[in-house]
Order: sequence, then structure tokens, then C-alpha cells
Amino acid sequence: MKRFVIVPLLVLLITLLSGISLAQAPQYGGVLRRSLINDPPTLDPAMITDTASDEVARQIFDGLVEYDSEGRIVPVIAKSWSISKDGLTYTFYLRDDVYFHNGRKVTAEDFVYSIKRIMDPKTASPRANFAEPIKDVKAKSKYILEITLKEPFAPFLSTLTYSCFWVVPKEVVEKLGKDFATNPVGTGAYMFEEWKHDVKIRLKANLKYFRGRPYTDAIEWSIIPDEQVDFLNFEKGLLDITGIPDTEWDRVINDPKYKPYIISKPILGIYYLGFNLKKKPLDNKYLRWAIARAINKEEIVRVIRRNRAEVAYTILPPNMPGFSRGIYNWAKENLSYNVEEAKKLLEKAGYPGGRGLPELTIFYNTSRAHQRIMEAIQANLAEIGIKAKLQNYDWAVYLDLLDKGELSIFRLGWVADYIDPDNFLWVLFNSQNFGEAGNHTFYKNPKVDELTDKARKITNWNVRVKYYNEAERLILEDLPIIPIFYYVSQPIHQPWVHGLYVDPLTGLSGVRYRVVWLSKR
Amino acid sequence: MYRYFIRRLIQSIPVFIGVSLITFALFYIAPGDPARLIAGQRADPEVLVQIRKSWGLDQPWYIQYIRFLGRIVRLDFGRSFKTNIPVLESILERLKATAILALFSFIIAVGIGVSAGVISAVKQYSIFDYSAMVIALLGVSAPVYWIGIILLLIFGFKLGWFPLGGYVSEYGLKAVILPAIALGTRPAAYFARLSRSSMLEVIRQEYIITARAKGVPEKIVIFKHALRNALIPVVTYAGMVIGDLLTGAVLTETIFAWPGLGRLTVQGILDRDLPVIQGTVIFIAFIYIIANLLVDISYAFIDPRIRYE
Repeated sequence: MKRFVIVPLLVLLITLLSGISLAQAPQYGGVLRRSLINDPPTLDPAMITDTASDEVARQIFDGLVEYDSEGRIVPVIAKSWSISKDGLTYTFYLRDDVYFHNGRKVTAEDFVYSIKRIMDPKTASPRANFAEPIKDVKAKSKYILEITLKEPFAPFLSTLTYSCFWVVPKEVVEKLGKDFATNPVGTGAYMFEEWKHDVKIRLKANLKYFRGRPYTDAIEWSIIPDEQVDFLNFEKGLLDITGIPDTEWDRVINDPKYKPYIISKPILGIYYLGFNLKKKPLDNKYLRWAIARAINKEEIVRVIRRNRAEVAYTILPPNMPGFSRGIYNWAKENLSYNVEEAKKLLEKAGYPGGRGLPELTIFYNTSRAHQRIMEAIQANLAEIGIKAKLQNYDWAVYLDLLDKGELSIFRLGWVADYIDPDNFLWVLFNSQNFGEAGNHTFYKNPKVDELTDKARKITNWNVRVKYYNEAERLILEDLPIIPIFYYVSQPIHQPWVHGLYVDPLTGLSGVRYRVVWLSKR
Repeated sequence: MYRYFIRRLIQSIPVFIGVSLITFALFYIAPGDPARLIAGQRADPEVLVQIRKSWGLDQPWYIQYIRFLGRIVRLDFGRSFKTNIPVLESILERLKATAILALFSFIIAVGIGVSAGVISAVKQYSIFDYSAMVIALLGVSAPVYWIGIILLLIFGFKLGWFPLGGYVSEYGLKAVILPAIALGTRPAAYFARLSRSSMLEVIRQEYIITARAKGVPEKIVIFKHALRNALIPVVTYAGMVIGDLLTGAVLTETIFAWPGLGRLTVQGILDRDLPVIQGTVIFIAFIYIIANLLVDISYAFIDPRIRYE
């Protein structure tokens, strides 16, 4: 009889204990093991342009503000801020308990130095354009910083989340010169410890971090250039978080061992096909529409991308503030795959059945993944009688030719630098930005120029959204680009990794690992 | 001999200049703006001007070239566009890793290849001969990245005997075994085929027949009389292999995350990192010239008929 009592008691006890372990509190300790596909070129915030450098430097440095995991702007070193009514003066009230890793306290002067460093042409910061709206920056007191703009610029606070605005210590930067890029000193949750080029980078926890010490004792990135080998390392349990190669995707997503640990989240990026509007016959709007309706994006996403993306119809991705469901529905109805409509549009363009249309060239930068997508598009176009050939260049040459406007139809991607429609609609479609500044289609619509110019100067969000929606609708009607898909980030982690999220802007590379903790491996 | 050595060294100077000129010209003619690559897709046009200026890319080609030559003489290859690290520092750092990998691959290639080739020749048409030559054929045909991945999958992942890529200082000598096998397979196969045919040719020559007729023991005939002569073409190939191993281990280094010279070169090319490309190419040319010189000199030791004036 006793046994009948003991057994249920034991079961209850085990259940309770497992319940406790399921809801366990975050633990300190352990080393988080990550990988990078290449050695980061630089860890100097003023010089960062790539995701590998950004991922590492993000743990070492802080700025005035940052995005949280939901993409909201939250204070970091700035406790609070105020914006003058004319939208020209931003006053930041800084925390007085922030220290650089060399032990010195951070003051407003440090931000003055860091921001002026970006603005200084001698620094040749590739991100100097982010400081373009700034007229002046000064320290009003030890912990009050004032930034004045040349003219109102609504997304300014958002741009301050960007890596180039992270604070750096003047004395270290000036002492080390160019070597600061390999010996970074910041204020962040982790401190630089070791860097063996092309082998590994190691950061250790900043135990005195002003937002509380990070959970793990260290982060170690191994440099693994081959993604297949990288994934073997993950499967072996030697890496805690990684990406999944396309070739492994079907196996991994169908494996119950891995499935619960894949995080899937759209990021603010778009993959598109662009038209150089200076080139004939691409200046023909009906031809562009015909091409748009001939492309089977759903099939590209399903078959080639293996559903690792979302079919795009609009320029602004759905999770971008200002995204309009109305425009999305309109674009989905009017611009999606429809061979009959495509044929009619081609006829309207003056090329019935493709007759009279010269052979088009679709350009892409050398990559097997891009090639497969472009081949699908080529086959789609052939269905309505458009002959197209494919041509590829390596990335450096490709960018150069794009800037010079030499490519007629091209593929390109755009991932937001800051969470604001301005970063898509103004950068890519305003005629001030022809060529290398972002408008590679050389699209010029005075109404779109006016709307996107006005929208960046007003602070009223509702009015801005109205302008952006109007501009986006006009752009989609003109169709200088055909949105193909929105990017989705899909990292995988080990069961012992907790607190991981995907950054809404850049995916895995934008994660702040201080919130990630490890249970027993 | 000494004079020959000096003369060969002096002869290599125009080779160096030629290499530097070709490297420079190829880069200069190729489309694509390095400043654009440094600044990225969303660059500010004014910054591009500034970058071109600070790297001297706005100067005419001959000024850029003369500056470049002047720096080489001082053993200064400049700093990488991309990382700002001095190129010579990067080269020397990577050379160590590549040299370790090359040495082990070379030992594997020569050890296995030459022994298999010699045994095959001596035991011509035996089962050993047939099997060795079939394996050699496979070794020559299989791409190095395929061999690399298979080795990693079996011995690294399934059996867990070796690390899944990495560098010696991290994992000890265990780390070098798989990449060395992957890299050494193809030269081993070549060595096997080459030493077999060379050996067969030699053992059919009259002085070998004479030696055997005189009753010289077979071991002495093979190892003393035949092998030494049969090794001459093998040594020539060995010289080329050393150069290849030191410089061409790109795929192996990528698969095994080996921080070597090959990876540095390819990354430099992908990034259009002019100083890195120029530095590594000049350095590679230097290695080839030295390797060839050593091969020529080693002939004299192997074959007494060859004497240098």
C-alpha cells in the first residue's frame, strides 16, 4: 500500500523539479561560441561596413541609443533626450556611470570627439554620410550633449543607433592610430581580449558594465570560411549559434532534434530586380510592368529559396513602420505573377509577343544563389516572348558598373541601416542619390522627390507616413524596381542557449549577446 | 657552384620586376574601384574621393607603380585597404601556418607517393602495382575540396579523431593531419606515377642489367644504382610541388579554416585589396624562384654527371 503512495509522490516531485528546471532563471558563466565566415576587416566603429565586424564590435561599444529586440529606440548612454520644436536641436542627458574599458568615465566630450571624428574628411569614414545632417555637436556640460542639425531630419534619432555613432575614447584612438581597429576599447558589455587573425576573436565579460554584467564570461568567434564545415561544427556541438546552409535546410527543418531551435524572423531587407531607366527600352513603363507580371516570385521563393524568404510586393518590408497593408494588397493584386496580363502589357509596350524587342541582359554579382534566381527569371521572361541573357561580375566590378549606370537590368538587395521608411524610399528613389549614393535605377519623379524630401523634415509621424505611402504607391506604379522577396533571418541555436533573439534590422549579426545565457551543455 | 648561385640570384631581379609590373597592370586595367569596395554599397561620394586620396589611388599609374617599387625595396608592402594591417605582417603570420601545412603535406606526398611508385615499378604488374596505380588515378582525379569534406565528415565528425578544422596552436598537431592528407593526396598520386615510370625506365637500362649480371644484390641494384637516377625527374617535380603547396592551398585552407597564405591571397583578390594582392604575388614569385634554384642545385647532389659552371 505504501508503494502506491510513494510512487505518485515521486512522480509529483519529479514533475515539480522538471517544472522548475524548465522555468530556470538565467545563469552566469560559460563561453558563448560563435563563428564568422571571414575575419572582420575592422573593429573601429567609424570604419565598419560589413556584418562580421558589426557583430563583434556591437558587443564592445555602445551609443547614445539603440534598438531593442522589437526595433524600438531605447536609451543606452543617453538617459533621456529632448528635441527642440523646430526639430533642429537634440539634447541628450547622459548617464554618469559609464566607463570605457580602460577605466575612464565617459562624458559628453567623448561623444563630441566621436561624432566629429566621423564628420572629419581626414578620417575617411565610409559612414560619413550618416553625419551629413549634423551642423554642430557640443558638450553643454559634463553630461549634457547637444547636437544641432543643418535642417530638420526626422529619422535622425534612428540614425544614431548606427555603429558609426558608438562612443570611442579619444586618448586610445589617437595613441593607437590605425591600430585602434584591431585593439578596440569601448564601453560595452564585453571587452576585447584576443584576436588571432583568420583563426579566432575572443572577448571577455565586462564585469563592471553599467547595465549589469553579461551572462556569459566570454564570447569566442572562430573564423570558419566554409559554411558546410561551419554547420558540421554546430552539429558536433562545438558552436552554440549559427546559420543554416541552403544545402542542409531541408534536412534540418524536418529534423525534430533541430526544429525547435530554429528562429525564423523577417528582417528589414528586400531583394529586388532593378531597371536602369536611362537605358532604352527599359524607360518603357509597360515593358517593366510586363516583366513584373511575368516573374513567378512565389515559385522562386518556394523552390529556389526553399521558403527561406517572404514573397515581396512592396518596397517597405511588412515590419517596417509606415508599411501599408493597402499598398501591399494593391501591389499583390496588380503586380504578381500573371502570364496573360504580362502578355497584354508587353503588347501595350509595343512589343506583342516580344517582337521588336532587343535581347535584354540581366546582370548579377557572381554567386550561385543569385544565378539560380536570375535563371528562373530568364525562363519566366521567355514564357512571354522576352529574350534575356545573363551576365555576372564580381562584387567590386559590379558595384562600380552599377554606380556608373552601365547595367541595364540588375539584381540588388537592400537591408535597412535604420528603422525608418526614409532609408528605403529617400535613399533608393530620390533623384539626389543617383548612382553610388543609392539610386541605381536613376529614377526621377518630381512628386516622389518632393514627398520624400518633405517627409524627412517633418516630425509628425502621421503626416510622414501619409507622404511615404503616397510616394511608395507612385514608385510602384512607375516600377523602377521589382521587389522579389523580403529577407528572413533563420539562425539555429543549441538547446542550452537561452535568451537569443533575432535583430529586426540585421538578423543574427545585430544581436547583443549580453542577454544570452547558457544552461549546462 | 657558388658563382652559379649568385648568377641565378641576380637573374631573378628582372623576373621580380616583371612580376610586379604585370601584377600592377592587371589590377590597374581591371574594372572596379577599390575605394568603392572599402566604402561599401552605400558610400558617400565625398568620402570616396577622400579614400582615393588617402590611399594614393588618385595618382597616375606610373607614380603609383614607382611608389610601390620603392616600398618593395624597403620590404614594405603597405597596409591592407580593408584591414589596415601591414601586409608584410599578414604575410609572415600566414606563412607560418602555410609552411606547417605544406611541410606535412610534402612528407605525406613524398613518403607515400615515391615508395608506392618504386614498389610498383619493382613489382610491375603485381596486385600492388595495379592497386597503387588505380588509387593514384583516383588521387589525381578527386578534387581537393571533396577529399577535404569527406575526410572531415568521416574522421572529424563521425569518428571524432580529429578537429573539424582549425590551426595547430589551437589543437596541437592533430589539426594538421587531415588538411595535410587532403592537400598531399594529389601530389602523392603524381609522385607515385612519376617515380614508377621513371624507375621502370632506369631499371631497363644497360648499367642496371650489367650490375645484375655481375651478381650485385638486388637491394643494392635498386636502392644504390637505380633509385638515385630515377629520382631526378621526381626532384624536379618536388620543387614545383613545394611552390604549389606553399602558395596554392587555397581550397584546403578554406575548408579546414587554416589561416594560411592561400586564403590571404584569395581574400585579397575578392576584396580587390591592392596592397595584399601585390604583396602576396611578389612573395609567391619569390618562393617559386627560390624553390627552382634549390631544385637546380639539388641535381648536382643527386646526379654526379651534372656540374655547374
